Amino acid sequence: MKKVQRFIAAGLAVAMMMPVFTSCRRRGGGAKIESNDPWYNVSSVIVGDEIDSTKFEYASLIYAGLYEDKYVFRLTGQNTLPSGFDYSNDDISPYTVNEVRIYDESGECTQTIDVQAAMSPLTRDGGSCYVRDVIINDDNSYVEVQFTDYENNINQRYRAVLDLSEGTMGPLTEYIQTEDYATRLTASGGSDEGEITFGGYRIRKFWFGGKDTASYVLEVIDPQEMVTEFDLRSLFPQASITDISHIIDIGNNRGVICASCYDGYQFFIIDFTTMTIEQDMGDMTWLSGSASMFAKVQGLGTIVRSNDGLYSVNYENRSLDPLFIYANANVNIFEISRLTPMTVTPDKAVFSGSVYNPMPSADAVTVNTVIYTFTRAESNPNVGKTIISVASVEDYSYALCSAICEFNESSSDYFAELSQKYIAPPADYSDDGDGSQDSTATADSQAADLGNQLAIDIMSGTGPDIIINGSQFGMLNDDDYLMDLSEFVSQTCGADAYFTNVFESSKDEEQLFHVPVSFHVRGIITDSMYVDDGQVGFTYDQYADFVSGPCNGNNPINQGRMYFFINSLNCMPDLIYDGNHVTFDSEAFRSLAEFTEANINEVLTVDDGEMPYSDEQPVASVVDIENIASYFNMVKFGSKVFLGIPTYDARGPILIGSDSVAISAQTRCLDACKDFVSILLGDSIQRLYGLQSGVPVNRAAFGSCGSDYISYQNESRDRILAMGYFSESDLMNMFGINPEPMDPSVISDFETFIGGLDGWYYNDGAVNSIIREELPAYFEGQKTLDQVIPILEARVQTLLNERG
Amino acid sequence: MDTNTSQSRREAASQARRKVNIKFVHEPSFFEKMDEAEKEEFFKQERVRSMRVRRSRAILRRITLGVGIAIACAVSILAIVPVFYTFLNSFMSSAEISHNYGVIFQSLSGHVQQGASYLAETPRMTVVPQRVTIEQYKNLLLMSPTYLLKFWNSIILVVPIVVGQMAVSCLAAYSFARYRRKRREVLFFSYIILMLMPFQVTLVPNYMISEQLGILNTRWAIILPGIFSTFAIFLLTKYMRQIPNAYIEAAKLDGAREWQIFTRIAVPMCSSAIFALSILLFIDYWNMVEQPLVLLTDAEKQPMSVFLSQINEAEIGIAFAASALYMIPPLLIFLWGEEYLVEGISRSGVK
Amino acid sequence: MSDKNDNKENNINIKPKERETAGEKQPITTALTTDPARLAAMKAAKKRFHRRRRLKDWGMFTGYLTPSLVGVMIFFFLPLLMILKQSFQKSSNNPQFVGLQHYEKVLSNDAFIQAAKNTLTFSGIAVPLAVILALLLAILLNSGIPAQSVFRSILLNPMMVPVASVVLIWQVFFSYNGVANGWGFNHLFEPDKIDWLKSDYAQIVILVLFLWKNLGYNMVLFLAALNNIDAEILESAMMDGAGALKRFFSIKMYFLSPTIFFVAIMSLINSFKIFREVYLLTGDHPYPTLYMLQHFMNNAFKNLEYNKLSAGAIIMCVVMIAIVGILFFAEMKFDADVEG
Repeated sequence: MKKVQRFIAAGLAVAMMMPVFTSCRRRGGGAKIESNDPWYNVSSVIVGDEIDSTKFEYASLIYAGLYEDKYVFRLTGQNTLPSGFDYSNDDISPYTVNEVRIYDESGECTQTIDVQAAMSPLTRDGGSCYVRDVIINDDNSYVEVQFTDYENNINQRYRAVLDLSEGTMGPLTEYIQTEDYATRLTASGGSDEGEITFGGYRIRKFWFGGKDTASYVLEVIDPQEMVTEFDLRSLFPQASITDISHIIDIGNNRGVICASCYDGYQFFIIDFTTMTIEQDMGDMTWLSGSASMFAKVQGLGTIVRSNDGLYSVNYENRSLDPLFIYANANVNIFEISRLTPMTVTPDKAVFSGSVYNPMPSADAVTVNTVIYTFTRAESNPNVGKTIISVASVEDYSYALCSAICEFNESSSDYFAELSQKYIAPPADYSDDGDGSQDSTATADSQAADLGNQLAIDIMSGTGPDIIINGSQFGMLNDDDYLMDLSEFVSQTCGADAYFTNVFESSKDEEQLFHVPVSFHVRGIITDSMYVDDGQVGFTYDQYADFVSGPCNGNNPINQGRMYFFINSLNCMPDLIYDGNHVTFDSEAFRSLAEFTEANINEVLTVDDGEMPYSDEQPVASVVDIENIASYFNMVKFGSKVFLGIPTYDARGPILIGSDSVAISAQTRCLDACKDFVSILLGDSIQRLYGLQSGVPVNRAAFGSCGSDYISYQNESRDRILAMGYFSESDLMNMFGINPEPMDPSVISDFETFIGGLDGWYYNDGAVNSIIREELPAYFEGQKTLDQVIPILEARVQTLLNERG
Repeated sequence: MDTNTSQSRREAASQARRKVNIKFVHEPSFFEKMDEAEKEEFFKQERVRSMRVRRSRAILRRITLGVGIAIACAVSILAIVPVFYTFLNSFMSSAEISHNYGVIFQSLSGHVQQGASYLAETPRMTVVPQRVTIEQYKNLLLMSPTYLLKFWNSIILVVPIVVGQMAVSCLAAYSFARYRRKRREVLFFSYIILMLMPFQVTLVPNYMISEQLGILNTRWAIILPGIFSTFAIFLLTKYMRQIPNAYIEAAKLDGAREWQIFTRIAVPMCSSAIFALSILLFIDYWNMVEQPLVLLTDAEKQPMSVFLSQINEAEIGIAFAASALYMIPPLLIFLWGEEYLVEGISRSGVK
Repeated sequence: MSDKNDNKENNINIKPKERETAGEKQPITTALTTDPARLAAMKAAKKRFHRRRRLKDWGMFTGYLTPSLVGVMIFFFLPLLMILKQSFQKSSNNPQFVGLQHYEKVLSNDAFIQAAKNTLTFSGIAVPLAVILALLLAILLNSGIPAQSVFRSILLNPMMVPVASVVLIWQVFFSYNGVANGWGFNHLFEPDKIDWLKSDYAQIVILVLFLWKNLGYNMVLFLAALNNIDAEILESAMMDGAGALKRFFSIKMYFLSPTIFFVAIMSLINSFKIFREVYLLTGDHPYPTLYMLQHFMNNAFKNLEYNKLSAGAIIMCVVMIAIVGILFFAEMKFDADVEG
């Protein structure tokens, strides 16, 4: 609460100090693209498609390094084993694949080095070996292989030099680790934590455990093989270091050690010339926020891989300098941010990684790796375009980024940019040293803070133009802050092309601020034999009978009384609220309360994660249907029916919003924003939403991703059955897949089903907390319902009055 | 005969009124008519009667006294129960506290989690703990330095405020007391209004101003508004206005300058008020919660009062000990200052 | 000869004397001259002197006031002005002037009306009670009870208890399963157990809390004032045959009246401060009888409805100015009589 106050005050401070300006600041809406803003042209190649993946049982193509202008990858995998293969006796090594593949810039595989061939002789007499690492340097590239024979107690490392220009590999020679000091340390209880290379130096890390006695020892080996040992515990007793991940080069033969400790990140400066380490006691918040995003890039050392681009660490200025910002190219930011940077120069940046496929392919094995090459354009083709900032709360999706790309390609006057301001950094798990739950709590509070920051920015006029997934901020549902899009939606989204019932249900007193982009459906799945024909939902009596009867007392909604109560209440807001007036003294509320008190049991608190597990399929369960596949698998399976969760008047399943889009009332680019919303509601982007986050509101997209799901499901089904171990009945039990092949009629079936829904799940946090305070008295039997209801009504009515 | 006597008496009276000298007939009073024996009798009866009256009056007084003491005792007990219980509970082991009071923490407003059990049992108020331990104090003082740090934070916030506010207020009160013009009265009146404002009104602007001045996350963001709070000015002005002008005129005649009047006369005369005010201010700011929460963002700089107001179930073990310790400085200051307080109060009048 | 004649004519007998007082030349003019020009000159000099003196006074006393004034300006007046300005703007991001729109909205807001009613009722009951009960206690303690100072110390204790302990103990007492119900206090009102803080008796509970906290201090002030009354006056009244009651009302009340007003204002201030305890006991949205103006403002603050907050704050300001103004003027009238 108090943090909220701080943020509020901070935002309002800005508001009051800036009397007239509204949204023209930094890259917010209204600013234009300057001619000196960089722009990159992007091209992509796929590597690895020359590999026949059907031969493999599993395979992966991993980037190893850059050699001159060639890309070096390593391929690890296993060919499909012949039937009848005996795991205990037969040698598996002929089927193992280990290769080093060299590709040129166009994606052609120029050379292949078969490593497995050199490894096979090692295992002739037993034991196993695997490729430990492939190190690519300009002058010294090698493969490291580890051989282990447990029976004879042999543990040996081998190395082979790679000649990448020739495409050959030298013989595997034993690599003797002559550092007996290392063995001394491991012998005395330390664990070898690996090695970091820094220029010509190798820094080996050892950790001696214990919380208050944790000791991290570094051994620095200089190019002359001189060893210097640093016991960090004795040097810096206050910092209990648990891991050292990176050492950042700051010039003058010095580096910054980034150490994660029990209470956060600490930074130490190591000077290799004088061989000293000292702690940097200054304010390192500029760096510690990015500490979980460090990455090592060949030729650049350690850089920061943030959500929006690559940054280099400028230690003197204590800042991060941008190296490459994803928004400067027309590429899907979601996809790019998940790729590994290979090389970055001012004119060129190359990334590689697995191809992102929104729909997982039924093909089990794919080694496709995409390489994106960004070359700097001479001039920015978007000069003069007005920038629209798009903000997503907490996270952004592939679909959103695709929408941004599509908008930028199609719009001649506007350029959409994804604002990173309200996206939480990746969760930092470094400070839950005592195993407490703090990491999720801090993540939650971080998310809450960011959300509040968004609300404040919107209210003070410095916020983004478009807000994605902002429906949780009820306070923003006002003409002052957001545009009422009900007219826009009714004009552009007809009933034949969209599920207009979804739009209608989500309206708040005829105003539509957050347009639903995707949604889920929540209800109870059970078998039709347990319910009556034509039954759409449950009244409380029916539900009581249902639980005691077919369910044998196992309530599908089993998370406690409060959970049940609030869920059911949220499904029938119209029975409780009437404009600004609340009535709890109604049949609906009373019957819900009485039913909950009588029939729902408190959830058993389990101590150590050992939930009582039963092998049988439950008779009924509460589900959120997110796509047509789950609809088919759960609702269309056998004789299942999909009913609403219990409400007073037996309502059907209820719609829950998933993604939404809103336009700020302060925007100066209203038409462009509306175009963006149209793109979000357009066929292509809606299909992406449908594949990932919920049911799309666009009927055409609904149909197309329905087809995608159908083919995916059928392929999976066929593949599983083809394995030979599973029968059709196993499909449901083990994989949750409907044994029936899916056909296109399911699409129209699901469509009709959705068209018939009209309830919207209404969740009001403040009212819920009042209910949570008052009702338990009734549930525990301390008070009667007649005593509780007036109190509830009075308090909630005050709340509603206050809102005005 | 009777009429004669009354008439003569009346005549005598009216003549006496006219201040005419007439021989005044001295009528013997009933007392003088008595002879010795009757006098003895009379005196004995009088003695008995007066003793009876005196006794009954004494009894009445004793009864009223007793009732008064009883009321005073009752009120005192009521007043002291929470303090007593805080100290008492601080000597309980934390297990016992959870056992007795745990239910309260589960249902405190704002701390309710899903499925919290409503205050289902009566918390047990025992007069004597089952086992007297100083475990809480040990935990509080020795285990981790955070609590002592918070304690120190409280002190470092409150003392400058009290000292500063007294200094500024003395000056301002002197000005208000000595220089009474209509416009000044309006200003004084507005000072009073400011005193009454709840903090929500000025919180956000204060935050913004603090940010402008660059003091936001420092202690000054709380200390400075505290120093300039108008509460002490109001009280001191009233006191200073009661200083008789005679003193001041006399000082002026003796050649004193204003500053000397201020330091030698005004301040010492108000010393009891100053002491009382300091105590009041100390107690008031010792308990402040909202300002540090909003204006001090660092958790390390938060004073103890904030911590105490946010006790949840995890810290119930040391909650009472923390409260007890937290009460001690005001208590000490009060006990020490009370002497001066009493002295100042009983010293009265213009001498 | 002519000189003498001149002198006689102008009738100046005494030269104006000059005396050094406080380092200042202060001509003492006695009205022994009748020459109009001279008179005018003297009057002008007097005026000049007074003006200079007034200016000097003003300078000096304002100098004493300056530190306080500067601070108060920055930290109190300026925020109030900001709030005033904000309350007339359309919203926090739109500086358009909308006049009294926000005030209308706030004044017609049911929650605000409820809050105002509650706050006024509470203060209206609590402050007189605090004053009267404290006065009674002071008289009680003053009438010869032994160990007066001990009682005084004990009764001053509640001021020092930190809020957390108070809240805890009050919860223990007044929750639905608390001690008050356990000991049967509810039977005074109703046969069943009462959830005190969520019923119509909630204000009584808070009243008790307020009195518990503040009686001690008020009582001490009254004690001090009682002690300050000259014993001689009381004795002479006693000898004149005035009974105890008459003595009390006529004399003690007369001398106590400034203290009474003072205590009233202090109690008014403290009755607003009770919000903190109420908030810790009942949270954001308490039962309507406990819903005070500060709840309204606090929630507006949390919901970022800054204009509502500003309008409400200004309204509260205006009302308080009215109330305190009445008290102030009444006190000034009484004060004039009593001040010696």
